Amino acid sequence: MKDMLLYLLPIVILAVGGFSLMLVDAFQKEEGGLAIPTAMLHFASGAACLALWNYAGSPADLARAASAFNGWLAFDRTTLFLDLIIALGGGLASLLAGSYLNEHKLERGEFYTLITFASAGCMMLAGATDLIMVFIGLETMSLGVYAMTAFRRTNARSQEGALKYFLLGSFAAALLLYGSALLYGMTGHTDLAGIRAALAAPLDVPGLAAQEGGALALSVQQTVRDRVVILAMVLVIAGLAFKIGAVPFHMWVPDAYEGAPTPATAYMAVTVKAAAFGAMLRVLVGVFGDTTGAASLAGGWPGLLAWLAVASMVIGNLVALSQSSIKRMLAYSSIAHGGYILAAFVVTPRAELLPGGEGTVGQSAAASVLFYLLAYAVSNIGAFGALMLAGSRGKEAVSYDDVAGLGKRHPAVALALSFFILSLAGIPPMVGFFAKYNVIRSALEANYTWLAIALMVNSAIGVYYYLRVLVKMYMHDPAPGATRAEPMVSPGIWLTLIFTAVLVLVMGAMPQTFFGYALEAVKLAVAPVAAAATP
Amino acid sequence: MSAVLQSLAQVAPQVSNFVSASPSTYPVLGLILLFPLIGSIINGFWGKKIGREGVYITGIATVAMSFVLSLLAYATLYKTTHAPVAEGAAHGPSQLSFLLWDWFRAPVGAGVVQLKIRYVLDELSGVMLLVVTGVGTLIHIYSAGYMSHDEGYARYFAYLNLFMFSMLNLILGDSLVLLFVGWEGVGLCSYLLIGFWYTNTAYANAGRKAFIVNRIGDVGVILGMTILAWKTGSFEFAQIRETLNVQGSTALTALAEKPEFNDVVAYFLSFGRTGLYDFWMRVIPEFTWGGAACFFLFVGCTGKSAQLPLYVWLPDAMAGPTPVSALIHAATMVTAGVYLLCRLSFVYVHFPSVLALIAVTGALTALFAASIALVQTELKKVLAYSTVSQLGFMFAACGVGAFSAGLFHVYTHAMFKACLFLGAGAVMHACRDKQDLRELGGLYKFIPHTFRTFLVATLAIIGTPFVTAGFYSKDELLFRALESQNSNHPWVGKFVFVVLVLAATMTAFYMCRLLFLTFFGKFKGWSLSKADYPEHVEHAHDDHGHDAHDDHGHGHGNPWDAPKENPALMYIPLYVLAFMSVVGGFVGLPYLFTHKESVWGEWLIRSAEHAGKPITDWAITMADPRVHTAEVTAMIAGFFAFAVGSGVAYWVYIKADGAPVRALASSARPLYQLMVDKWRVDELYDFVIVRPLRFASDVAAKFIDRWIIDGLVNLVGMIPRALSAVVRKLQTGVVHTYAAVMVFGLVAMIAWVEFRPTVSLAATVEANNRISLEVHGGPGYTYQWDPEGDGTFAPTNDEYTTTTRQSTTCTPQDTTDGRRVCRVAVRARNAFGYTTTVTRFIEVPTGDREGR
Repeated sequence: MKDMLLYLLPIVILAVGGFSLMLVDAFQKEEGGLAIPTAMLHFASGAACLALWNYAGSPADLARAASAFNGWLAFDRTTLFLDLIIALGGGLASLLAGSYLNEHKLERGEFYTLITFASAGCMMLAGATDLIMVFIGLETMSLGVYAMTAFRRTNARSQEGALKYFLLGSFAAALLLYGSALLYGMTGHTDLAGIRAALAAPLDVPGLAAQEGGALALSVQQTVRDRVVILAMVLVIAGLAFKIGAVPFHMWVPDAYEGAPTPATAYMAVTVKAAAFGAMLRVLVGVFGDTTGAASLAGGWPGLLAWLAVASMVIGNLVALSQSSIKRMLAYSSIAHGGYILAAFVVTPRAELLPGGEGTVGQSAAASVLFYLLAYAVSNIGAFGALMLAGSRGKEAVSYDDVAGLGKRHPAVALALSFFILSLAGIPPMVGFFAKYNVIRSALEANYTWLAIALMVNSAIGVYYYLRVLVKMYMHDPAPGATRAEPMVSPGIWLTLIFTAVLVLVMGAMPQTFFGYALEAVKLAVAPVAAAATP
Repeated sequence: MSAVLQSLAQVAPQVSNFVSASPSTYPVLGLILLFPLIGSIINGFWGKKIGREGVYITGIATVAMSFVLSLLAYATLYKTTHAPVAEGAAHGPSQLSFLLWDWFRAPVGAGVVQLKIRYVLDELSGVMLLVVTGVGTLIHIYSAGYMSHDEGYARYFAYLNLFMFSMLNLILGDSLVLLFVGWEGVGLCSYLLIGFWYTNTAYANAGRKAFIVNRIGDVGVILGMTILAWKTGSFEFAQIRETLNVQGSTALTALAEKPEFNDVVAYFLSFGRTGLYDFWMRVIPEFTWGGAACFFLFVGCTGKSAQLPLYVWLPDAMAGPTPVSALIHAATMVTAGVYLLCRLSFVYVHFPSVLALIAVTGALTALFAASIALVQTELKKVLAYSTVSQLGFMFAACGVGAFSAGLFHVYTHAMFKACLFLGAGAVMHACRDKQDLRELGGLYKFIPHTFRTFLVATLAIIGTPFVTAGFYSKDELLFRALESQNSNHPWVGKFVFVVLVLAATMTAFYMCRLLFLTFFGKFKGWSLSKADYPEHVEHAHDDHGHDAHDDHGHGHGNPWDAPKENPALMYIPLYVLAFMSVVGGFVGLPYLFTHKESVWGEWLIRSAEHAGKPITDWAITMADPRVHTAEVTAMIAGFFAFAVGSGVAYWVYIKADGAPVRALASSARPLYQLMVDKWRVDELYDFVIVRPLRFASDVAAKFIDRWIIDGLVNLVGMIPRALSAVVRKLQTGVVHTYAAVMVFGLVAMIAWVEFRPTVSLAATVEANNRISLEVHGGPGYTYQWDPEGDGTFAPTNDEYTTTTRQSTTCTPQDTTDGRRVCRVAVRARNAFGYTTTVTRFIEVPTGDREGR
């Protein structure tokens, strides 16, 4: 039992911290000063993840961790890896918020409470191994994020974006819930392992087979069950794809991203994605993935996701091309990045063994997903942070023209921003390159050559609009009379920028080490997140 | 030299035991790289904060530490390789290495290759390491004096340190990939430093030119590298070498394969005529994968090391600060190409035709650049073309198979050419940035330290017999060229010899001309008499010098002041380099004198030993009596070149005060003008390459960009715009639209899983054509099997089973390309009753029937 609390530590820190923040905010005389505590809470939660990573290493530990929650939550290394991304994203976003909200006269304590609870929700979602837990996590996360999107109360865009996000998000949550209900109805289980076991066995209604015409009735019921289960799977995919922002469930992304205050945008793009992908790994691979076979198409979801991946890449990139606002461009490109990650996701049910002790193709692909999420998190938060510095008090730098001449005016900001942009564009030696490289490798290993080619072509399109930022920064002068940005004095943002820039470079320099952690996270998962080799 | 080394070797292990566990983990190598990187980071980020002194100390100290550690590492290497071993036992490891971390895995050929960040010090990289860190340290010291009036000193030292870091990566990296990282890094630093005074458009353009020309070469390196790794299955030098040194190894066979496009290319070149086709196939007998790899890598070398036809960037690169020219564009970076050839000599020896190409290119470059240098009037331009020419010597040496001789010239050249460039910088510094030979003269009185060292270095480069390093290295490579036997093109050695002797004669002439015009005669820079400046304007000296260059290099006195000698910070490095230009050559005393292998040759012998295709085609047997004849011939030829060249120069510029040249120039006006215009190669490239490209890009910009790209972008942009138009009209409608899209997507997804059953079929081939099959669908999938591939599925009709595994013994069919395959099929029905059929052809082992 003492283990149970220990495993819950990352979430408990955030939850308890969230309540404390609320109290502090209620009783303190003046606003502000909560950014650092919030960041510290997140980093403490991240530290707890790191500690648990080492604490619960052996399979016996993992089994204990799994049984500690009766199949509600899995605190295995996959969860810890995702939790670490969430803690990192939340902590850095709060650091950004500390300076940003002040500067834009938005400083109100509830932002920090919201972000803390949302992070706790993200962690629940990432570790959920029960459909009810998935829903609770999803809603905890979403409610915080909806409110954060609407945080600029006087701004119509913010309101509009938040309302759309909320309405459509409710719709998506309803789809997910409906899918879950159908699965429960067909199998009698809400826990993923139970559903998986029920689906693996042929339908059996006690006593029915013995009755007259019972065999036929049974086979009809079997058919009904199979059909409904497949429909439920599609509904669940739709619900989670919404959170990822995959096409065609992406329409809310640009509005919400643009309307939200920039720290919230950075936060949404990173943590919500990480948590939702985690849940997808557990649900799709864990329930429908035929994870013991040599190769699997698992009821068609990989093929389905492959199409979602390509659609997300293409639409995200093409629309990003024509944006004049960098913030909106980053929003659309986040749809494209979701597509790239989905491309690796498609391969996760494959169980062919790789040479060199790298596990199976599926495990390598799932590790690519995790690695990509981490790489995207550091690059994206950094990019948003640098964008904040490029703006000035009360006026955000959002358009390409706003960053013109930044290279001369503020070389350090420009240098940092170019690191992140290069990383997002996937140019070596930044970490983004290796993230894409891993995905392409996974796709090729599973003979999804067309998917790999689609990814490469899209990545090349992406380079075009990403490099436009660099061209603007270094080769263009601001238009005469344009307002010059005066970077705010903000140790929080600087700290974030340095931290993420170093990570972008270090992870780019030693990608295999970090990929190794991701692979370990996949291999040491209690509930399957990728196809393991047949023993 | 070796005595020093030996005594160092005594001390080294005691020191290095603290930091080193074994030769396979020698962290000092990491420190050697780390120091310049730290220096670069400090100077780059906090340069302005720590101030001028701080930047100088950081910049110099980090590189000096690197040099000291290099000496330590070198001594340790010496000790390791010379450790006494029992009779008949294998030598100790001849390399020190340090693995930093595993980088990433790359699929190469059929396997997966682990790329590592690992640094290796062996005999070859040891020599380069000492040259780079040693000369680098001196030039950093000199720079502190040279840049003392420049505002951008922090940026300068940051770039210079970064350059050192990249160059060390290039040298110490143990794989092609790491070498390429360094290769790109030095290119970047070179670009940044050439355009250091970027506010001057001409200088910035010179940087850009260097960058673009080098990109052409880089494509070659990438191609060559990829082919080599693909065919040998490794990026690591040691592994490639090991596979190639085994006679008849698969890698060797793979390299010797002719690519299919070989025929295609030859076919196109011969316009479909068989006679011509045979001709091409004879001319290019090494049009194999390996030959192509070697060729492409050589293309990269011509870019980086400024050989024909890609040499054009180097003379322009002299726009950068002079110490940069000395370090990057004379002593170190430009020799990277030679280093690459030496590093991969074990590949190159298998491809004599490529070597012949290299030798001829090198020799022609030597001659061509020397001819341009004859008539240039700018101090640094002459030295620049001289560098191109000397690099040609090195390539010619490598091309005739004398890799160690080529490297010997790299090393001596680094000493005297760095000395010359720094001397030129000192002259410019003293003479208010004047570098036109017609405006200089008589400087030996004013700047005696510079003069003395410049004189010694000039004597070295023109190969003054018996006392200078230049003589020994030039003699060595002339001799090797004469002696070499290229098995495909036997004439190459003699040809190279003749051309190089000619080039050496020109070298002697133009270097003496440079020396005489700069330091002898009468000073013509400005009037030294106070009477000529009646108005006594206090700031009269503000209006000379380069516009971007103006805050450095001028005396702070009156306009009539004579040139002043530079501070000791600047001339002490000159003395060190001049000293090395003399004694540095004694490590390579010829066999003729000592009757044994020189220290140099002995040191590098392991790098030059290549099993497999025997190196004896190229090397010489010392006992051979012909060797003596050849060596004497080479020495006489070298002496001839020195005597004629310098003698003519002496007669022309000292005795006759330039009159004969003026007469010659006016009588052969067009030829002279052509040489002054550098054979108009730049104009030729402009006409043949740049203009058509610009035209094409104009067309692209006008049509492709405007109509296609912009059209596409506009079209795509119209979608959100159209959407937003809808939004504006129906304020609340938009969420419905979004939701509608979601519903549409959901319906499409459901339709997809309903109508498109998807299954995968996995097959395991066992012995005796036995195949195990396993099908994977998903919930509700049922199957019909046809494991024999004869078109009859079981069970028949509408019956489907839930069996997912089958095993069968198949009767294989032969395919046209000699493989044997079995056909298997399965029909799957999903929960919604829709079916799909999956057919697979599974390859089975051909067995001994084919005897493959």
